[in-house]
Amino acid sequence: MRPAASNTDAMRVPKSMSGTAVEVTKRWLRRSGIVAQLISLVLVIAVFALGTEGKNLSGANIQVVLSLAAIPAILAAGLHLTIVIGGIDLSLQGTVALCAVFVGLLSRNKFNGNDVGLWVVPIGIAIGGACGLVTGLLHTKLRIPSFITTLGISWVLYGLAVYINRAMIISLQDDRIQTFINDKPLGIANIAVVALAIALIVQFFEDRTRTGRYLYAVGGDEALAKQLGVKVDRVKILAFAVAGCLYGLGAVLLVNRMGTATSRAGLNLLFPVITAVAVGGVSLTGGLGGAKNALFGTLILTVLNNGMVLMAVNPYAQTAVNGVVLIAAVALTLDRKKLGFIK
Amino acid sequence: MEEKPRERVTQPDVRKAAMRLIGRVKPVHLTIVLILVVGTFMSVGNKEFLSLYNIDTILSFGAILLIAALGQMFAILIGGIDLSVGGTISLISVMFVFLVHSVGYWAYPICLATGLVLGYINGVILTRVKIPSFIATLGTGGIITSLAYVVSPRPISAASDDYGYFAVVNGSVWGVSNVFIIGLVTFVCILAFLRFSRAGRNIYFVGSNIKMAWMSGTDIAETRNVAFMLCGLCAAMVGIIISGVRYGGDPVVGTSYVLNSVAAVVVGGTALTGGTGGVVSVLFGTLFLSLLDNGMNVVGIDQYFQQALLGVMIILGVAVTFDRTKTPVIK
Amino acid sequence: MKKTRFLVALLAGLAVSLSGVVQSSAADKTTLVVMIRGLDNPYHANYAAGAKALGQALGLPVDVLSSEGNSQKQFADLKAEIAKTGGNMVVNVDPNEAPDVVPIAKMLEDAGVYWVNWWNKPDDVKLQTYPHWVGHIAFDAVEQGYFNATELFKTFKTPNKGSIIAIQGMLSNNAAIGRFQGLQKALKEFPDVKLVQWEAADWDTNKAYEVTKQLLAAHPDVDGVWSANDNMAIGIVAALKEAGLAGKVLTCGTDGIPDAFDAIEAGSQASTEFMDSRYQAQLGLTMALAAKDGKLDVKAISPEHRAFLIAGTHVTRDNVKTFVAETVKVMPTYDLKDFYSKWVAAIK
Repeated sequence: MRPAASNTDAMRVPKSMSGTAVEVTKRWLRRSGIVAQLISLVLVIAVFALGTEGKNLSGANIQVVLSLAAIPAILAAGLHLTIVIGGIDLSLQGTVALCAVFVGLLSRNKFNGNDVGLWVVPIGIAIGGACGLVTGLLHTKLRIPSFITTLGISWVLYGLAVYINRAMIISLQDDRIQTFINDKPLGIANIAVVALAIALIVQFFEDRTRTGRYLYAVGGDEALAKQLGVKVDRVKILAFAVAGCLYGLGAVLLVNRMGTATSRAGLNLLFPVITAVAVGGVSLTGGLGGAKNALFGTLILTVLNNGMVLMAVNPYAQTAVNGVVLIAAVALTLDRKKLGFIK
Repeated sequence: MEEKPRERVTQPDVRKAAMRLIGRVKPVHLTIVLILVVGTFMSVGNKEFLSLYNIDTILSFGAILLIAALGQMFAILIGGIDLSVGGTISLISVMFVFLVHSVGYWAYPICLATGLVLGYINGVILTRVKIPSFIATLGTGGIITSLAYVVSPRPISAASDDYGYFAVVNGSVWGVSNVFIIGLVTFVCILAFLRFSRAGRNIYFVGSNIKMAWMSGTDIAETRNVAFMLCGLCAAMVGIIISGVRYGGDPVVGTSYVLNSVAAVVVGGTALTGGTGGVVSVLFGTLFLSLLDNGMNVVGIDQYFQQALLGVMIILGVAVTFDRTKTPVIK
Repeated sequence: MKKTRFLVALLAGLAVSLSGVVQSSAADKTTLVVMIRGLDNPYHANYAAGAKALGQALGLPVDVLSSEGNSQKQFADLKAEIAKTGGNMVVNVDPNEAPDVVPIAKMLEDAGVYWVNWWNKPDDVKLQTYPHWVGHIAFDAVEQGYFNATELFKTFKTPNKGSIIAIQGMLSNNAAIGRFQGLQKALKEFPDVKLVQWEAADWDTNKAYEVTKQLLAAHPDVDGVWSANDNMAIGIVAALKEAGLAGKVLTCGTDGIPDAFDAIEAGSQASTEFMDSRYQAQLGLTMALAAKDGKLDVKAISPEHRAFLIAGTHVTRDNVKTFVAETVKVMPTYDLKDFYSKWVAAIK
């Protein structure tokens, strides 16, 4: 039931835009598919502005929200790629755990003599990327559904992380990255700037590169994409590998933000990130939504959770509020015209 | 001189015959082979693996996962997924303890009905509000978990006076534990339902080719609601059994059943795209996971390796059993 | 053909993985079993280390069962262990949750296995019903929360006068609830200290960091941050450091993980209470072993000694250096002759 037009559209690299700034913005908004997300975000902010008597709009709190949203946003920028191609990635926890442990053990610490300095950033990203690559290869070459591949991989990686980590809490003695991510040369913490940059780069990749468009072709109709000559397996492997790289980066930031590394670093991240991706309007059937949606989804959820903390909402009720918002947001924003039968 | 051409003729024949043989192998058969392989290794590792005590252990713990997986199977058969089973199991487990104290045996039907209602709500969100089941059940799962916290924020134990009501779950008949019997009966009922009832066949129909089902006038919404209600019912049964076994409830006890139930279904060879697989596959998938879980302890594999090994095994398991002929596109 | 290839690969994988990690079991010797929640935190890793040290000293095999916080796995693992050893074992249990104790007690009673339980049990479950249940022991959580609160109050600019925020552990957990009661007891005693807001962070370092960061934005002028354990204190210290408050506004904890000692020495944490899980493991196993060998008559143990609280060690800036050097870094030889040497009160 999917309109065929979306597929041909997906195959084409968009032409450059023209017109006045306002027109461009309007057109961009219309085409972007984030109008509903913008409205949701404004609504959530407004509700909590009333609820907290404006406390959530204080400069200090906005700073906090932006820097708290940064890491989930980077993870979401990775995870949504695997959803865009029509799969899913549950390996987040395991990958982050393994990267975190390696980051801890390779940075200057008191358990061993290692000190790779700032090289830890590319190394962390590479380890994550390698995990993603293996996942992608297993998924495509052994032809196992991504759900179960990534679930199994997550257990394997987490088990490895726990084994290597041996329950040590690895304190980092090199705080250069920590200082950098909290610095505010642009008015907001660098970690938030990094997250924004990542989202923009991924979005650019999705919009403006041939490979990026192929992601949507594969997610939209895999069989058709294959007929049109897209190397489906390669596209899928790429999506998982890039996602892995971003988990690796997320782990580097997570560990340095805290100054300690453990195998527990990735706990309780998976479902919030999937929720953010879905709230942002990325369709779980694949082929719809981009990094900007993941970013907005993360912002909405962070503002929501921050508002609940500021209002001192009963922690037991917080999971319920999250659930209601998830359903409500998707109910309002899901573009059912682009989907066939909803599964 | 004459032998050569003959050989040329026979070789393809042998290959053809081999292909035919392989073609006849169903995913279920491969799962059974897997189980035998794992079982052999485990019993070589420690002969106690096949002791009566241990077999009873595997079967009674396996039965709980089986019921959860059978429920999940309905959601998966129609091409959806139910991530709220964890919340439902938790909620029922705490509710049951309170209800047993106040209304005695009525707790059983009330809890089962609650499961049906929760499943129906999931179904309606999918069929009427038209939200994909992954999101819908992720959301309702959060809400139901909160409800469980409202009922009891911390794990509760049943009063010793109420222990009698738990005998339905905890007792045994001629040495066979009731949990296993409940699992077996559920299995047979669901098998019969899917084979012989129109609603059961519709579930396959909707799952395998929804467009065709729609065109032929099958009530898709109703079929999907039924599937989710049955999933809720099974989750409620699991909740009751767990609180029965523990003589207490716990607002987070269901969490681990979400992914484990899906894994059990998929390891058995059922595709997440829906329409294929069935109760027998789920039975063997569950047995495979239960054997692994138990066997790794019985043969004494280091705890550090257990989870990693389990991950490797489910990937290998699905790699072997997954029926690729029925799913051209693997997502 | 592909399928057969997979099958071969699978068999090979299985053979390799199993032959690599299978340990030989010694059924003629009593197996020492510790059941813990996970291997990914120092407290429980020490638990395993203590048990292994005891096993080495006595020449007995040790098995560590980790539930990963999953109660059903805990039961299944225990039954598998009973099958493995044929019941020739003693167990030291840290149950996942209080209600888990009843099925565990029944399983071990049926198998005739002596055991000691820690931390959680339903209030109305009596040990006297189970002849193989040697003891139920816990640290005094209320005292822990109280001690750390009072130490924290001392560090204020004007001691014992100011405001705090509190980071609570997992809401459903008995230790968390007890420690929070201790905090409230301290607040009652020092009416000039005000608790402006509290949030739960589920024992998780990351969550503690996030929550503290948000609370500090709302209440930038607090004088201290109370924390229910050390893991969360790490996150709190990171958040304080970011706000430029490290060393000025302090936190506290419980457990006694290495990072907490470092933080106490560095002056960003006021205190912690060390619970020696190595001792927990060795005490529990020794008691159960004594009962199994007939050296301890379970029926003759008085109720106060069947279920009781023991004291942890208070660690502050005054004693942290010597304490770490003498007790934490080396495996001490514990007094395992007198099971009740750290007894402080009976559990009703």
